[in-house]
Amino acid sequence: MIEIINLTKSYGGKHGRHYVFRNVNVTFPEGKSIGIVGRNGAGKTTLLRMLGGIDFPDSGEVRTKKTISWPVALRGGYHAQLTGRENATFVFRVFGLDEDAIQERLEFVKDFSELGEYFEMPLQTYSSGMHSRLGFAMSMAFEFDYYLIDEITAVGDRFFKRKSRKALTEKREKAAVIMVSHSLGSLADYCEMGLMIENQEVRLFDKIEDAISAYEKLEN
Amino acid sequence: MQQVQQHPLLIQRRVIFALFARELKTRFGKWRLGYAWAVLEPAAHIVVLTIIFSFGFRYSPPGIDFPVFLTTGIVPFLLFSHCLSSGMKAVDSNRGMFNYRFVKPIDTVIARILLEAFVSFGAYICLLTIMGVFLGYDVPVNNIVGIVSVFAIFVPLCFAAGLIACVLGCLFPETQKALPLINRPLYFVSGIFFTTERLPEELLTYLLWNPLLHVIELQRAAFFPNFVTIGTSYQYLFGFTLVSLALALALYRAYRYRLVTL
Repeated sequence: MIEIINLTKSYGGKHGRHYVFRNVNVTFPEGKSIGIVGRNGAGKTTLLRMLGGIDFPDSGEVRTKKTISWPVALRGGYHAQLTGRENATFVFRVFGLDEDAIQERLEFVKDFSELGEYFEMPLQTYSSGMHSRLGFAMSMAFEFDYYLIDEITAVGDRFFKRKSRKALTEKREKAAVIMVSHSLGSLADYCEMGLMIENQEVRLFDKIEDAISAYEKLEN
Repeated sequence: MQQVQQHPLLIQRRVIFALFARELKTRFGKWRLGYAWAVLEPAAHIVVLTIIFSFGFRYSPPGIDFPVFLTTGIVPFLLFSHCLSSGMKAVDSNRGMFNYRFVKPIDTVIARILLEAFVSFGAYICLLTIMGVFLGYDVPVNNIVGIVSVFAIFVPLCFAAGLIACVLGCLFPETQKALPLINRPLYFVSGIFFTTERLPEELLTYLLWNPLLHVIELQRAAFFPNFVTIGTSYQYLFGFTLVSLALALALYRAYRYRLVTL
């Protein structure tokens, strides 16, 4: 369960303060996967970042006892001059794994990401597809209660897509995903519930289909 | 399995270790000679200053070899100056790492200051060994406890300076341009190539505000027997460090969220 309590978030700029969320209250029920919809700039990524503990509300809080992944996105979280292996080692160390566990999971990541010899090369040599494959493999190397996924389900070629879909489906037996995607189809595939962000507020739907149709009405 | 509830200090320790290991690989990453630069940079200063001062105005006290004298000034100065500049860029160059909630901006500064300190000690030992063993200069290490004590106060001062630079550099990017404006004059007033003993008293009263002058002189007094230093004190250095630390931590606390979300 994740509770969002009285959350307000704004960004200040030269042209005045812009509110993304105002006094939002919502509770994500235990173990339910949630797809987030909303227009560009509505605050989908900001919400994921606050759930992931890497952005902070002006007031209010996100309360949970569950473990939550970092937002797994297309870019970010890696150092361009370091190799895939060095970057992965860094993340494992930050999460407090011991050296044996690190070795074991490095093998998993190398294997899953299908990077081959690129795993030993600096990230600046990676294509954007390879970058996201590494990112996706990294998150799959952990056991979280919640996985935050930002537009990354459709990375890689056909074979990688199939594999990542399978991995994510397996994870969902024990864990839940909270995900943002412009592909409404994959939201419907992975999520039970839906959350729509609109006018600095959120609406939680028990069925993802209802959230998607509400969102489609919004667009017209 | 992971994310076992742990004491925040344990989490911070492992994050700093991970960042340190990473910085170790990237500190000299783009440069061909790698860690040799740690020795080459101060060596270049020493050579240039030795040549310039060979034409006169040599201020090193009698009985002390001039290049050794310069080394004891250049190394601490460069440590301070590197801590300022690398602290200032710590958050910017590690921005992607804040993707992982355990990584806090202050950890990136701590990791960098630790690295700078290690690099600088390594270079110090190399330079003094080369001078003493291969070049035949006299390298007296009179009072090792004294030298260690100076650095035990100086490194936290470097951390405070690096953290202040980090916060100001993020809030006001213009400060990054202003950094050389602080660094250059410091080079000339920190006692790298003079001693307090030879300065006129009116000038000394002002220069003694500068903690780096205290660092360099107190260390020299520990290196060289019979070295005379005037007006410098551990008390001043210690007090200055405490006040800077308080200021740095208060500044960081006030803006820590903005550093991540900027």
